[in-house]
Amino acid sequence: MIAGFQFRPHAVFNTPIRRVVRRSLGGGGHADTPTRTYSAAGFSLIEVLASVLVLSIAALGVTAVWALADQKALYVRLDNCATRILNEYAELQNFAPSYVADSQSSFDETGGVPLKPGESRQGYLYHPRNSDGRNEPAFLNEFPYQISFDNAGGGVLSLTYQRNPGDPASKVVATLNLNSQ
Amino acid sequence: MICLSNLVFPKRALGETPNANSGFTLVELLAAIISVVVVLGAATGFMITAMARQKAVLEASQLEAIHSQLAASMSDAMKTADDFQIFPDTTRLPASIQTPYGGGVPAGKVLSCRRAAIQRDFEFKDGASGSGEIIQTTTGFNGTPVVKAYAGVQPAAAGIFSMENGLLQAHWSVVTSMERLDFNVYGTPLNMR
Repeated sequence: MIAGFQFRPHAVFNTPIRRVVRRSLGGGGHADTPTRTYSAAGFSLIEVLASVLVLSIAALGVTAVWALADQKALYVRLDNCATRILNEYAELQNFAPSYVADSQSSFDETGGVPLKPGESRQGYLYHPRNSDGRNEPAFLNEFPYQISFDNAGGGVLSLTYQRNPGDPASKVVATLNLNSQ
Repeated sequence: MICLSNLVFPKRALGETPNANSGFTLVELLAAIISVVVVLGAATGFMITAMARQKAVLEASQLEAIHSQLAASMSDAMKTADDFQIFPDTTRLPASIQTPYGGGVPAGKVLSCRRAAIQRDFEFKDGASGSGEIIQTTTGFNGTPVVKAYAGVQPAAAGIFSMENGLLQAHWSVVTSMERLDFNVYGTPLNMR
């Protein structure tokens, strides 16, 4: 009985953590003593580092998706803001006395002065918090827009801005027909 | 016999073909654990930052939607009013709907609009932190007021309600954790058109 045991060298501390056991399911070996093949090779350091590199690239990909989602959310907010400004100007054009536009030379948003035909005004769609540490001014002005009024066809308001400042291809034009309200 | 030298100094060097009995050495295991911890730590940090930003964006969007609703309600009250008045504060508001408005001011903190025995009041209340809130009170036939409060309001420098240039208007800003949103409402009551 005892003679049947065999002691492998370095049996305790050098035993690999992962051991692949292959058992033949049919064919080879005796019926009462199935054939076992031990493959004791584990992962090398290079393999582990390569897997970590792949994991890192995957993690970077996930963060890139988050950044993309953040950018898309900002675009939606810009579109909402542009729509709101167009609606506010539509109310202003509809309800402000027409003589005010001719009598006022300067524009103040809180003054209720409508646009004259062909006139355009500038503003900013996005006012993020200033995070430079001094917080002065408290809010910044980003994504400039231009709104203009064309009297043709009963009146059309056009608001133009660029999603990526400096990239003319990212120009967005939103229009509102005053007669269609 | 137990050979401790195999634990401390692995025989297999980097780049060598592993032999049949080799698995992880302690150094490999530690390197793998450290690398995984670094990668997972960075990913978790990014995720926490993204989640915090997403929460701030959601709160800002909700506040914008709530104040857009207020602006729409205010615009509707202005445009459909039979009678309206601007007051410097709520002490000048008439005690009941049947009482005439009396004299008002060109710009103030309270706007009251009436139509068919329904009165809608909008009052700006200063807050302790620099921003205040707009209280909307709707009083109907039964005299029971329905009150809604809209927080995070900063009035325009010229005042929140005014009759500048003969146009009834309201201007305020909403301050969220991310940005400032400006709201402008214009309307002319029916009897002024």
